Amino acid sequence: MSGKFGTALMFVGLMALAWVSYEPSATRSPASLGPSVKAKSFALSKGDVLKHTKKLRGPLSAKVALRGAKPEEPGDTFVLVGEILSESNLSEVTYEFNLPADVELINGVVKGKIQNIVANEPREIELTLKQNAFDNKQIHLVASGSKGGMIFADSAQFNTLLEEQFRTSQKELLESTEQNAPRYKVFH
Amino acid sequence: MFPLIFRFILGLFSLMLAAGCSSGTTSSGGNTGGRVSPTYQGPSETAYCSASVSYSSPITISGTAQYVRREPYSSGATGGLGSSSTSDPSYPATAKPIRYAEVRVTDASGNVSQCAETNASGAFSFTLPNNGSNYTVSINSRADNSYVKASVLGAPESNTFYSLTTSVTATTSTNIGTLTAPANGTTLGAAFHILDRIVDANDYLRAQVGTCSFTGCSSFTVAPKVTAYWEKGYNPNGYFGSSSGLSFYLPSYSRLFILGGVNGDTESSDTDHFDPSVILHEYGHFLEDVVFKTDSPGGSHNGNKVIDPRLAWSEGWGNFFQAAVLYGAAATPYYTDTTGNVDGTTSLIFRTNLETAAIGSDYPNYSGEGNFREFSVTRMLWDAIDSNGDTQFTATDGVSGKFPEIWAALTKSTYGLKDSTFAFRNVGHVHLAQKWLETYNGGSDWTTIRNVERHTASTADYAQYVTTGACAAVSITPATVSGDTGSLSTSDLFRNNDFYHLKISSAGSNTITLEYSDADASGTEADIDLYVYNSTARFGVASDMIGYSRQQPDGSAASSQSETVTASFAAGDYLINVNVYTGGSLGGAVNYSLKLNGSTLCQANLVPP
Repeated sequence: MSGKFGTALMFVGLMALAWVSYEPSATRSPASLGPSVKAKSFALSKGDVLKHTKKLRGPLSAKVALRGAKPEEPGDTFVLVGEILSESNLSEVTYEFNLPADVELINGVVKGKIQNIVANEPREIELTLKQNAFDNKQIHLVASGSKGGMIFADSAQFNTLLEEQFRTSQKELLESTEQNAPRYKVFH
Repeated sequence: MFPLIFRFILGLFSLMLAAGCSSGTTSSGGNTGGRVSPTYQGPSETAYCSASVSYSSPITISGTAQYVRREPYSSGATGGLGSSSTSDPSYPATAKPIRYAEVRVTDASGNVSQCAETNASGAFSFTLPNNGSNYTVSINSRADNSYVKASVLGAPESNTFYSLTTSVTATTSTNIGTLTAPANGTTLGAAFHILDRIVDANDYLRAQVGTCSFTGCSSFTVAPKVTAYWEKGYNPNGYFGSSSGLSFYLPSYSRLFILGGVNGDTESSDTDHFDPSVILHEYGHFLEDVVFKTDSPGGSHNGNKVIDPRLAWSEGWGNFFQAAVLYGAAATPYYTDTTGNVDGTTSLIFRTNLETAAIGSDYPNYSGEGNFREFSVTRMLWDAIDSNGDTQFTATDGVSGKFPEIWAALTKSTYGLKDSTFAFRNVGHVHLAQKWLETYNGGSDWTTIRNVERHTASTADYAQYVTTGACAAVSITPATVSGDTGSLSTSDLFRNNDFYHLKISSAGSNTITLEYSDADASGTEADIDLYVYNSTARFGVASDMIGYSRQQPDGSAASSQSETVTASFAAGDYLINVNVYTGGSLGGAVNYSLKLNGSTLCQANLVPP
């Protein structure tokens, strides 16, 4: 059986068991994991699929995404959006796109500063680019900031032709990790 | 409506089928580059070449092995990773000996003809038969000797090591010169750099605690074997479906995964193979997993946040350990992580001073909050070994050269972190263990360095051990905290939560009750809830909860409230969480009591006071 089929069966199983767990009851057991009795409920999280450490990351995160159609052949223009998000207020963030040879800037600013970053409010930088090559090109964005003596940054990568392939690969590898994780937990 | 039993059978049947799909190890297709899972066992690693062979009338082949590493650099707020060239005028690379590594010599058929190891200078020497045959000499990215036990391999799916190779013809004794693993191109130098930093860590521990004088403290010789996986251009976060650069340690597997780049790129993407801070930090996680004991739940951390004290301890220890290995006692220590290198786009991805707290750098705002902040843990540990006397919060660091006390607190099986009665281990347990050393075993007084970082010298604020008895109620005052949206994920673990360690000795049904009342019986009544977690106890994670109760109070400050969890408990350790619900009106201070099957739970000692 394929991994996807197994995943689907797993999902059906979990839903059915969840159905059991959430049987409405007039006399709610205090220890059950049933619906909250708070006026405003709050979510419980699922947690990571596998227990592991995580590398220290500062409050900044950078992403690069395509807006509109991707370039199909040399000469095609396309629009990239860099998104910078911070978990805390920052007075200033410096950003820089690294454009490889054969990727030409048509419009936008590849290097600059963004002032007064507010926590959890993403800021965008839009670039219009032209690819002058047949093969995949990697575009990088680095966003840097500092606070309280800490210096931090985040980097992101965009692949002009292979981005979808890389994302599909990551998704499949995550599924494989889940299937092989010895402590795969059922989410109640 | 389907009968409950039918639903249960359907669910169980589907899960069994799914389990059948995923039994053993499975690959999810051909789009993962042959990767399966970080837990994948993979083929057995080729046996270590350790048996030296004697030949009659032999010739002797000698030489030296070195690797080149890029060096992190910084100046003020700027910095990055330097050149791959040792002659670069601005950011030169460094050539270092490949120490204590396996040397494998094979004949034209691939059969092993000789085994040897490099020494502390990277030099090697071995004999071969004087037969005019050609041999391949491989200096491999692994070691299994009294100095270090480590393998740097490509991936769990292949379990192959890296080799720096050359050919020799066995006609006369000769010195084949210096073999060099470069920092660019194949980037073979990165594999040997990872191995070399693990040697540094073992050297440091031998120097500090080769002989540990405290009762029950383990004297260090060499750490158990670790496997570090690294591949040029590969991001291990792919295993978790993310493109964000990640190095990590996998507990219980003795496996480090070191970031080698992203989607084949090493020049402008985040890499960690030339970041000693990251390599040693992750090796610190290995030590806490294998040499002493960790209860860290894992998870994200940004270096400036109140977090689960188990995570704060684990990450704080890793940050400290890298500084201890890299910096002298009089130096100003840093944690430094770079992205890219000067051949592409480079910058500092993280850099912070580990000596001085500043607002915005995990600064503890309240007494006791330091136990909940990773860099506060790091700085406190650094203050225990450094020779600087920094002052903060009217306290001056008066402790120095106490790594052996840290090691004793971590490795002792009784009243140390390896004590099996401990659970939910955090820096509070380390303080308890160190205080025992101070009181009973000739340890030093750490009061000043605890005060410098606003640490509580016990587990009072997290995982306080409780047993049934008679005691007064406990008070908690709801706090308004910036960023708290009323959800568990934004709840301040220090100010709006209390945590207790309950040990259940025999399996059975138990009822835990939280009874509380407004402290002054007037005004708005606070709302506090009860959660009971298993030993994993990831805060807010449903699958780790034995049960919870979060009733709304009746609105009358004059009346008492209660929350009750009744559940079946296996014998083991549980974490009871008293949580202030901040999604409504906060209310004032409340006094509360916890009860187990009607008997009051009271603070008890895991370590003699």
